[in-house]
Amino acid sequence: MKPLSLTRLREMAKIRDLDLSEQDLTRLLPMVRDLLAAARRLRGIPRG
Amino acid sequence: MSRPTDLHLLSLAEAGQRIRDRSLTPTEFIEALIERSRRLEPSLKCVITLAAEAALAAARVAESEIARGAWSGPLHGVPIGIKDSIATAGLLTTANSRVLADWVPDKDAPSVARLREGGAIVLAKLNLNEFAWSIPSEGDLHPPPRNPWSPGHYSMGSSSGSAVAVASGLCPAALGTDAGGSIRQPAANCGVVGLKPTHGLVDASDALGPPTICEVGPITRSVEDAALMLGALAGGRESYLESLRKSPGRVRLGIPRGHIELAQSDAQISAAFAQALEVMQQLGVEIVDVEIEGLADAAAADFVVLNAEAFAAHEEMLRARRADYGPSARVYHLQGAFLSAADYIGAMKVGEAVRNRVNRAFSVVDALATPVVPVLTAEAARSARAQPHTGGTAIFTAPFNLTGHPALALPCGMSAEGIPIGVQLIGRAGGEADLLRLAYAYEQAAPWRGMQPPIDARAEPRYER
Repeated sequence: MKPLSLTRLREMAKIRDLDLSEQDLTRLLPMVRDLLAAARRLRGIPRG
Repeated sequence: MSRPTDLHLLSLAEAGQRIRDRSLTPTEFIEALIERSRRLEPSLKCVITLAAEAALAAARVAESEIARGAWSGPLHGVPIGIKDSIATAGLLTTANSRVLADWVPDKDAPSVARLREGGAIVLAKLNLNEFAWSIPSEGDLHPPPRNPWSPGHYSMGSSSGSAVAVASGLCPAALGTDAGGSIRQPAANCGVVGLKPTHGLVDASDALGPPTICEVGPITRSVEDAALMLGALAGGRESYLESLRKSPGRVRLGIPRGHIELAQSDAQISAAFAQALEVMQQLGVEIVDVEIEGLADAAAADFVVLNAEAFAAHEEMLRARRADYGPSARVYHLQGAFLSAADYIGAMKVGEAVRNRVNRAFSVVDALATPVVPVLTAEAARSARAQPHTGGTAIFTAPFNLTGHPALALPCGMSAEGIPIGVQLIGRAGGEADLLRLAYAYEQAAPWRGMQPPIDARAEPRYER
């Protein structure tokens, strides 16, 4: 999976109708990148 | 008879007993704490609202009730503090956010209502990380509380003000909320006791927390006081206080060694934890290593759930009043917007699997023990390296928010820098009585009971060694 880019995050915010400033997007990028990576990893864990 | 200057040292249980036998009036006690709060608050920064007039009015009512024989229980006339994200009727509840800077709820949160039904008096609303999910800064509506043991450091959060106020003797007990460690971490960091109850035991509504994982619980200076508070919070269904008087009996304490090693804790924390286990062994507790797969995954999953639920709760306000959120709270609460339903469900499934494994572990041990937090200071916990936005240093505490088991932090050591260190004990779901009994036995045997930070003039830090 490609790491989340600022362009993609901006698109995702637009789809969600979130009118975010460039400053907020820049601050969010590493946070959302880490969060989505954690969430995707957890979805792949076999249950038992 | 205590000198008025020493009244802040009274425990909840002692104060309640003295109010009952009328050797102390609620008014005397509250006046002493108001004076102390006004004197120390400029340096501690743990109080958002000091409800002095309302508390003194309630004290006078309690006095007349007790005088005519209408004593309502061990909390009658005793002042407490409340984290400022928990709704209090007629009293400003800001959650340390400009979004709620003027909010005065018209009803109490159920947890507060329970304490007031027991006769407790709300003396203060206490500081916190904005909406309990942000990195605090000096630009916050109310700047972050200082650790009374080391005023050059902030207190860990998010129930930072509650832990600081209790440790500093501004109130004998306080309520906090905990969705990933927010009661236990500040309690450990300030040398007091913090209890996150079993999910659902205490009604945590109207406390602005993520509902699936957030609990309301007590922060106190002793295990006895935690038992007293929990009894009232849980609606008197069980006397946790009575259970303390019984011997814990033959206890097997499980140590999830692999998980603990994964966290690479500060060496001083590892040493204090090892000493705590030695004290347990001297009490006759059998120490058993256990392997519980997925605890670190549960910590990560807890923060996926937290972020999803935080955005869901704040979405409307974030759209309408985004500029009123502090810069950190704004982005912390926005993260969850980018999670999918599948992400949320995946995290919940991790929680279910780990809950089952923890329950299986409880078929061979009676309790689990870990450190509370792998770092010594709030600053280390909040550093970018610790990745606080994904849970960071909550590796020991957050798993049990997602699994719902009760967990308690209590003092187990002191760092060379003079900052307290805590141990976490985890119990079976609904097993608070056993958990408190074990914690009480440890507290009585360990040298950290009655710790007092060096905040009074010329005072040295005090603890029984």
